[in-house]
Amino acid sequence: MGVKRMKELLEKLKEKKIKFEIREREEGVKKKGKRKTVLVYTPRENLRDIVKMLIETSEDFPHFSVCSFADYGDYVELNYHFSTGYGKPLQETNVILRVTLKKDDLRVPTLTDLVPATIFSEREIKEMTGIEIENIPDGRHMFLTKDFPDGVYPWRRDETAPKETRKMYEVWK
Amino acid sequence: MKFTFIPELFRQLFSKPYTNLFPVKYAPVSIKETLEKVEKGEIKITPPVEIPDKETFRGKIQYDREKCIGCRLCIKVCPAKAIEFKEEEKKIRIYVGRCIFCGQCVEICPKNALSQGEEFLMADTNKVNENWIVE
Amino acid sequence: MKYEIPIGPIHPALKEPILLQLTVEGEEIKDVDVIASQNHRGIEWIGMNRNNPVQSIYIAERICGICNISHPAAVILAVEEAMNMDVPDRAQYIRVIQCELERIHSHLLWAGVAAHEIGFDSLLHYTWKVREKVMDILELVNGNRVTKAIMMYGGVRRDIKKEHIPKIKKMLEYYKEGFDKLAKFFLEDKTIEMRTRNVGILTKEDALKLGAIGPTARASGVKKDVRQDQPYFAYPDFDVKAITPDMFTGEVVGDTYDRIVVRLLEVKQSVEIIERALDEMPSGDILAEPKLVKLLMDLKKAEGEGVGRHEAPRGEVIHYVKLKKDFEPFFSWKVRAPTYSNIMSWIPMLKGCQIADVPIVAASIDPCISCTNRVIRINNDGKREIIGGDELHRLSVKKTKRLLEGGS
Repeated sequence: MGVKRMKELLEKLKEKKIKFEIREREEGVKKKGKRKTVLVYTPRENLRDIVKMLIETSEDFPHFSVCSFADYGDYVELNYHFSTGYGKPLQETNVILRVTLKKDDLRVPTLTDLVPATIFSEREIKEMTGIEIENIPDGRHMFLTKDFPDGVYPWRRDETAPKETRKMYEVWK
Repeated sequence: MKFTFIPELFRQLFSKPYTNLFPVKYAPVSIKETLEKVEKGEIKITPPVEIPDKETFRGKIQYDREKCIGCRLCIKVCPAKAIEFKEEEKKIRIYVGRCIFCGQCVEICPKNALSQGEEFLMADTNKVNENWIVE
Repeated sequence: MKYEIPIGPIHPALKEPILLQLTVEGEEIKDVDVIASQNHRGIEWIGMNRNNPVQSIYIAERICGICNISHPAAVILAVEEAMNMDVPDRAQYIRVIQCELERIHSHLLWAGVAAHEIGFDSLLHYTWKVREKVMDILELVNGNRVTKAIMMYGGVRRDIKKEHIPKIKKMLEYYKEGFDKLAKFFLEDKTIEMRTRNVGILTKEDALKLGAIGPTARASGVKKDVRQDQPYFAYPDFDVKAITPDMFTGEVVGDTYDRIVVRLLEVKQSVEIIERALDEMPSGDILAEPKLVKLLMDLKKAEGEGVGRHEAPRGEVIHYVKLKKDFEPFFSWKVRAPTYSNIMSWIPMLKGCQIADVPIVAASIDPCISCTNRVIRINNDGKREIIGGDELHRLSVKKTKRLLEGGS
């Protein structure tokens, strides 16, 4: 997305009164370039709208990278990493959609119908964190084996996290 | 459209082998018998490829016991957790079988008690053989 | 009549444990299902619970043996952004040289594997012979052929010595001279063209929607390259351009042949980048914080988050890192390797192919998942029969022979 397209997206976000933050980091030695990141604090109910907006304002299709997750005790943070505006030097922008969820209400809508590439990440989020993905077309395990116990979520930092596992390096010392 | 690789194939028929034929020219039927013959002096082993730069090469870890002050910094940074602390002596023991040869402990050691040598032929079937424990 | 054929979980054509559930009608593939849950090493969990950030560089290095610069590169980019750390100029140039050396060796390794998958083993041995030159340089500069252990937060661990530069330049000359020869063997040979042209096509639209990256996306005409779009390290200085197959053949088909073209041209591009980097490399420090103990303290005190994106040989690697004060391991760490995004493009690629094409099409995205053994085939009478890796490979070789004799 060119700079103009990016502005369009930011205007739309302002219209909807959605908070966002722009981060820049300088890169390069002789020729400097800026790495731009837009962090959007996305309420859960607006997630699908914002993704639609992102698709509309992108020249091609936004590239979906991955979902990341952080556990803060009573609430969790789910980040959707998009990037948009490839093809021209220094024009690409990272877009992070941050959804904050309360621990007692862990669910997000699926994005697979809008962005097909999200299916692997949604399956991963489902098994690793226990967040329920509403209307997910394929709810099987992604990376964990079929016989992985229910109710154990490796990325969480509470009682559902796996207990300290056997350390292979202590087996034959 | 043609088969462009054929001339190269013929060229290769008459060129020397590119690989180092280590340890012997032809794959032996029995490694044990070959090694016995080497001991008797009946066959010679092809030497391994020379180390390109002895300064940068990262081989088996070497430990200078006298210099070590028991600060445990190497244990803190070892990614493979290959280093064990011996409480009563305040010295360390390194399990080379777990070592990943990154050289991080060499870098952090305040007294330069650790270094990496040139030895790299260390294959063994016994996980707790003497050659694999440095202390 | 439809049949289901599982390929994997452990299979020679795929090199790493993953299961492809194929639905076939005769020889033609109708549907594909990818099942990845075969082996989970829990690397992110270790980085988030057990290791300190310095140890995590080395576990990131071991995510993949071939991309052993790419993963540390992405993780240090993320941490440097989180800590807002400045890196010395010389270190940035050394990082670029290391990344490009890796790209040369990885693409040549892949080209050899691709030749092997279609039964062209003499070309495999030739390509790997050519690859040895860059491996020798890696050993010379880093002290190890494979895991180089060179990346560190705020710089690199080892400098490129003056006496190494002439040797590196000699290697670059070798590749410049050898490139035309390699291109002739791969791109003009009848055997390769027969097996790869119009096989495993990925359209531009599919590539965009399924989030394909790296050479897989570029071969479909998507001009996407992190080194161009969002340069990092010293890459802004080099004006890298994304390579698409039309630069060489004049058109974009998006098939396996195009993916060979893109990778070979990238080898040439990497040689040019290294040459420039060696000439323009500034002098100075290589580490922002040479005292490792202090660095560890700083890392413990730091708070923030960062995203590291690096163009690995297979595509974009992205690491997300979150640091929290007084919490030594990464508070949050997410690793996205390129194959994670590229695997989905297997589905449109494989549909309509023959079973004998599975090895080369699967290999064409350069999957980085592990290795070898059997397919179980259930015959009409319900009897189980095992097709070994050798058998599938033999099928592929047979197809090459059949095509040579004018069959289909």
